[in-house]
Amino acid sequence: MSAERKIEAAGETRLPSRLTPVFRVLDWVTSFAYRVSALILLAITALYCMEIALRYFFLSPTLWTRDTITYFLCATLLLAAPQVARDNTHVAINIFVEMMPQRIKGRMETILALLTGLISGGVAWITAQDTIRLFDSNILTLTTIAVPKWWISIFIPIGFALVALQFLSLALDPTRMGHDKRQV
Amino acid sequence: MEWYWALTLALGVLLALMAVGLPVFAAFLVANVGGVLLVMGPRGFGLFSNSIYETVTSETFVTIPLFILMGEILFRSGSVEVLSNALDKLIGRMRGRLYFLVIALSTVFSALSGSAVAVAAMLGRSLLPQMTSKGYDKGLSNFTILGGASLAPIIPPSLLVIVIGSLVNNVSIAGLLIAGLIPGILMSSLIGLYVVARVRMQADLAPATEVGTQYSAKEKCLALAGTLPFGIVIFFVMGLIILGVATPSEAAASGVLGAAVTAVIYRRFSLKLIWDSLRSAVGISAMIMLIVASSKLFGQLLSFVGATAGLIDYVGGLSIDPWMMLVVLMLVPLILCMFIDQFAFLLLAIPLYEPIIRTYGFDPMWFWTLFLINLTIGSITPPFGYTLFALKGAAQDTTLNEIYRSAWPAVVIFVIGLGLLAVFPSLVTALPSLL
Amino acid sequence: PAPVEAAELRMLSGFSPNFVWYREIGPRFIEMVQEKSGGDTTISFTGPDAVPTFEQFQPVQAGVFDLLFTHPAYHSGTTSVGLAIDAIDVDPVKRRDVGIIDYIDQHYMQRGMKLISAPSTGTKGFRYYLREPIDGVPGLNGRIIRGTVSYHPMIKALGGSPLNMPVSEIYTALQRGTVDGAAWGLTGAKDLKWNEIIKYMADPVFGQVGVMIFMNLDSWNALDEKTQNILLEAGREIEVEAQSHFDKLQADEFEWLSANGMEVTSFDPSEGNEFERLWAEGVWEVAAEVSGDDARKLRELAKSHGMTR
Ligand code: NA
Ligand code: NA
Repeated sequence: MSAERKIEAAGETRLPSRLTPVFRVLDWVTSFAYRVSALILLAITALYCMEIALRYFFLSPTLWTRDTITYFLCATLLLAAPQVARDNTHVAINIFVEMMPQRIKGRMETILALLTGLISGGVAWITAQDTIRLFDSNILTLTTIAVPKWWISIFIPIGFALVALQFLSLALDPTRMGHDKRQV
Repeated sequence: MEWYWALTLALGVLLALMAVGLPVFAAFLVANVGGVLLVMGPRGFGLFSNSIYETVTSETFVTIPLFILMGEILFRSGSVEVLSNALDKLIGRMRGRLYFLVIALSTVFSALSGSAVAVAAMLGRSLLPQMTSKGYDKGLSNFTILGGASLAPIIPPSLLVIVIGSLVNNVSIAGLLIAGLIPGILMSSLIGLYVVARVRMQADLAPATEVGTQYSAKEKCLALAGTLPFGIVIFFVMGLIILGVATPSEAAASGVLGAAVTAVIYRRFSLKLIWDSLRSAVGISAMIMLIVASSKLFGQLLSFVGATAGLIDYVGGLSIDPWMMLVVLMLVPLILCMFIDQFAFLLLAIPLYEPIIRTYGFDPMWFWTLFLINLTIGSITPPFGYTLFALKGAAQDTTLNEIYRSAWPAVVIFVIGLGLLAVFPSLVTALPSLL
Repeated sequence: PAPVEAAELRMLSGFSPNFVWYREIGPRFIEMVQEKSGGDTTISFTGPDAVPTFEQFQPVQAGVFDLLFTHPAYHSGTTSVGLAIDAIDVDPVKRRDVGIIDYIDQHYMQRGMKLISAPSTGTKGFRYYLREPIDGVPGLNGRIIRGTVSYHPMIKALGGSPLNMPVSEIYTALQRGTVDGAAWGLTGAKDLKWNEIIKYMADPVFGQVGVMIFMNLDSWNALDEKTQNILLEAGREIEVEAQSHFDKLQADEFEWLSANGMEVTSFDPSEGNEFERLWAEGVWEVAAEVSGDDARKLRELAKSHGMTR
């Protein structure tokens, strides 16, 4: 669907351009996080291969690989989530929305994006509070190499905050909404 | 509140949120944050945060991005053509041969890819146009693709197995992965038999002019040799697990390495290929894992309010025949997955199903494999199913309605296969018991 | 608000209800409290299906639950003073008389939790359960061994690599070979059905192990003195009961495991003789790493009464 038709469908006019620079910064941060996420996945693969080799060829498993990998998993998932939001490919059951007439469909999509943005923002806030608690009381992980837990948990509020902003931006500017849902 | 009201309310709200089109992860978040506020107030937020943290730092789930990455690299490294050409030669002269090529290709690809969507899209783009232009029946072509793609989550490696296995206690993920092998081959054979029967009964389903060339034994051997690198990948993944050398996550990492080596052998390797694969893999993983992480607390909340215990007592008190119970447990996903996402369903169902399985003394390996196949069927039951949509996305000149029509025979065949596995449990449990 | 006389308390447990460490202590404690209060104070149970074992300290601290039944190593990231008790001799009466329990209680109260009881699951604590027999020195060379942080220094000293994981995951990990063994108490392997998947229990046994029952401090303060005393009394009595009760259970379990496919494999005496020292020093090392002076003071206290190394 073309951008114009999308706007028409949403029953909206083109948005005030003063938000455009804000969106550009948001998209830049999102895309940067996405690349970091891809690099971290590369690191995870490398660490595992190294671990297998060390364990089976040199009989010397490391103490830190496993733990590091699980920390990396948190970062890689949460840093990629905002880009998925930007592309609007988070899984949704959209048969109902698709049945609606164009005008209502646009409205509904805006409302759904707004709702998703708000709940993600709420989750960012909740998990940020928790990360602050972990920081204040200096709580360590229960893993072999104990590190402050907030080092890892901080990616959760960061990821959800960016996801929230992306969905809010979709709600504010329907031209940013792509329509193909990617599927698992 | 009585447990059954709590359960009904929780499930109702959640399903309603999903049905109106809220992203699945957001629906779970709304239900969970709402649930926490309702039953324990803001002091329960720590519990909520922890449930996300636990999921995204769980070693089991590292397998997911790695399996996806492996598939991405293989898909981008020309493996489709190599495999397709080799299998084409092996099949040789045969009436309706492209149907069988699709089935063979999807069976082999299922051992390389963990997701039905990826295989459906790949077949829809690569083989479907050929089939259409050569005069193969559209409906039967779509059928073989839908059926073939559905083997991917059943034959290891499988993303669904990782998610199921990590949520179910005391079942070995390695065992659960391997348990899918025989069922996968069984399903593949059933699909093949159906095609044979259809083509026998109705000759115009297969173009008479398109019977292919007969290749010599030497050519066949050469073609087979050309596919050896895939053997490396399969060995790196399943071989290392079976030999007990690596955990599923480690095996997935070595599978990625194997896939990269394959790309090198086929001279497709480039940094761009790896980079694109990495980007794609983290995106898909984030999409799946955000749902898993957001849903984690849901089961805990049901347990907290006593809904799980209530349901167990209730089901335990029923004097239903175990076979009847099995049918009920299998019908629920079959019907619900017509309309909802199978990941969402499994995340909902596992905490409720698990204690019932224990009460009835079902063999967990057997039951969860049936459950896995059932969810796979859910992905091809109209109107909502990812495999259906993936094929629609890849096959431009086919309508969704046509795809729906070809899906039903596939559904029926898988249900028959499911019945066979239910009656002959050793088809499922024999291989994992060798581990 | 005025102190409450009757209370319905909600207890969160790190163990499932049928697991021996809970089964032989939890219900008995609940029963005692109920009896002593004439039925005014009741306790309900919530298991690890509602909150994962390693994540339970915070929700009780936050007041979502009133009581916590756990092993202190399961919250070692928050404080390690509790787990240090596993390096202190099991003598329930002496532990209280010389102020060990009081000291730990004070420490936890600063973190919003009240220590109600610290029952030991027997006079002796642990052993290693292994997939393969011991051969040579160091005995755990190249093996990955499941253990909470308390064991980590000892496992490393024996040449192994420690890996922490919740109870519920150990069976699968042993089966798959994700770990080559597990450090565990002298009861529980039977309930966990380890005899189905591994064959070896290693001698010698070492250390001591106990569970702890904590209460959210606000919930505690809301109770009237009579109810508080009832809980403390029940806590003290269960400590004394548990020791002898578990000594018997340990012997029964050893016999049962031996009759059901498990055999003993022994560490070389050069290592085995060092077990008590390795264990105690390891535990104190871990405790001091997280909790610094608070742990060191506890060690001094216990040492001055000859209850630890
Ligand atoms: Na597969
Ligand atoms: Na469906």
